[in-house]
Amino acid sequence: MWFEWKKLFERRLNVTAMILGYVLIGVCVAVWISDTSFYDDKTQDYIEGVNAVRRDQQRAGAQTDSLSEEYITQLVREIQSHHLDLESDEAYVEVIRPLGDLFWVTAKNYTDMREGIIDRNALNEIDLTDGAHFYEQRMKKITDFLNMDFSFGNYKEVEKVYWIQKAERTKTPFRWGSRDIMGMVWDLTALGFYLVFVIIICVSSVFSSEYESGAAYLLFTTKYGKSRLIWSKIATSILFTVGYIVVGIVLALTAIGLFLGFQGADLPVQLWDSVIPYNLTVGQACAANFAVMLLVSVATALVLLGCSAGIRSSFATLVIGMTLMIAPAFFPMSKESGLWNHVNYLFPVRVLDLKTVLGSFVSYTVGNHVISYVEMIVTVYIVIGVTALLWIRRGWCRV
Amino acid sequence: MELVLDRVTKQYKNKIAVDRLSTTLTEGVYGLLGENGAGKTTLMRLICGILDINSGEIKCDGEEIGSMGERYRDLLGYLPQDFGYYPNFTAMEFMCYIASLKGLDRNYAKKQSRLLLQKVGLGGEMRHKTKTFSGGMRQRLGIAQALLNDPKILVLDEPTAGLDPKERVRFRNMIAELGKDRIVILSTHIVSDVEEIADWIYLMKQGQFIAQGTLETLREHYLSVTRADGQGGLDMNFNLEKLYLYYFSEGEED
Repeated sequence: MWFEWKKLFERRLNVTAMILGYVLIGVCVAVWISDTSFYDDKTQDYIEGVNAVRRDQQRAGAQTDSLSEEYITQLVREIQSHHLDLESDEAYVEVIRPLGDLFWVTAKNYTDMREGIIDRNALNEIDLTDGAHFYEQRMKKITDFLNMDFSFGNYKEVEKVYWIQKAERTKTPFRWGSRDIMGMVWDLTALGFYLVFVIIICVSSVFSSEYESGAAYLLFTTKYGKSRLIWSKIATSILFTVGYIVVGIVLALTAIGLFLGFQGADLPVQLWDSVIPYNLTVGQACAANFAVMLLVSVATALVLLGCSAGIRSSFATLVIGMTLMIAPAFFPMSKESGLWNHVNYLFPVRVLDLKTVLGSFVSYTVGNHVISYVEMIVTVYIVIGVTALLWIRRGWCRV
Repeated sequence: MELVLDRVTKQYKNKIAVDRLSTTLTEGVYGLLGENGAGKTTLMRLICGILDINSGEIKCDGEEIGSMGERYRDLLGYLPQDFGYYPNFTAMEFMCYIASLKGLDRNYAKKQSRLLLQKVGLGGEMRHKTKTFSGGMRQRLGIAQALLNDPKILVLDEPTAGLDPKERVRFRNMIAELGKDRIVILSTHIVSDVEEIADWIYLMKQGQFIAQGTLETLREHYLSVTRADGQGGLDMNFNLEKLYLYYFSEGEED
């Protein structure tokens, strides 16, 4: 395997791509930290960077530690007491900016799921006679969404029951705290998407370069050229894929941890979107996003190894890899075909954004059995990976 | 060791590259002569199990080579024509890489690599990257790797290409020596190489053996065909080149 590592790391294009991938991550982390801002009422100016994160933590700590019905009712009452159009600049200065994320999380809960942007004034329309019914509204919002008429097909009864039960199991009231740091960490795990491009560049030549250089004919005649060599190349590629991503993410997490710590890892994911039906903390969600990213990366690497062995052209394999990653981003969701939409959801560009995946209520049914989007992603990419493994051997040995 | 080719045929779409070839090979040096596209390389790849046969079979000591798998490849040493040398590998690393694929023990592989590199005149270049090598040096490295596992069947595709005259003489001697206890099959354009070292010579054209035998039997063959054509008779200055030209200049006229 040492020789395969040597081949991988001695290709100039590979090394350049690896360095650029890490530089990109580093730049993103630096920009995220430096771009975080907090408005200081005393100085009437914005604080940026690490201090902004600290101030946001202090504000969140002073607000509450839990989004109880009583707290939300009191909060909405206070917002309504200003009698302001919440879309106005005045409302932003007097109400929204001082509340920070607390305002956005609350307002989003009262915004219809079909709305693309948060309806701020929805908070002004809440009848507070017997409370804000924050969690009741959350469930109503989910139920309304599941019962909607969709041109591409409606939810089946089993799916509705599945999602409602899942959402009801979510632990309430939600814990409250600053989302800044874990928001960055979650975005960071999604940023791993760009590292997959590095994997594509490095893996696309693993088998094809042997054909291109003419070495394949020699390798085929060696004792293990059609057996152990394949596994050695596969093992090297998988280890490289996992290692490269893990090292990249760990380095970035270390930088975040050193500057900011990881406060907020135990906050529920519902602080990012209250309708998310999964009972997860944001720390667990980040870990899951990371695991999905590794799974998708390994499956993608295996598919490309198959292409590399079968097509025997590094460039063609690279083009296929890039197309697989980029093109689906432009595939529109169908207004007629639910089947197409369900396939469309499974392309790497969509599954790597777990923040959207968790709140999407996409599910797959087999008879009366409901498979959640996350379960489907795991199943599909494992199947793709295993199929690709068999394909690699056939491609390499076919002459 | 006996390698039997029985009506071996390889077809690419509409072109028959190797056409029902049959022969039996035992220890010795076998030379394949023929023009580009005659089917020499395809035949060698079939013998090495790189390509699948369309019909017919190749047996090694009575066993079909495809079913022998690793056991057959363990007997093989192959020098392909124009193969990749991993430019950033040193000569020693390249040898060790191939040795690992041949399943050789690491220590033995190092020892054997050193020995073979010295044998092919690359003893002083072991630590140099192959990208710094000349064509002749790469060819010598290729021959050295083919010998790593002490193969019982050695297949050399154009082994003397790129070698200077002095190196060619050295290799002829080496190949002749190797042919004493193994099957050595070599293809070349250079008639004199085959003439000097091959115990048995095949002339290939359009996927078929158009003539075969020892130098002596080919001489007789040449005399009989030229006599029949009314072109010759008793030629006391026969050499293989004359027979080669007889067949292949005839082809050009066609």
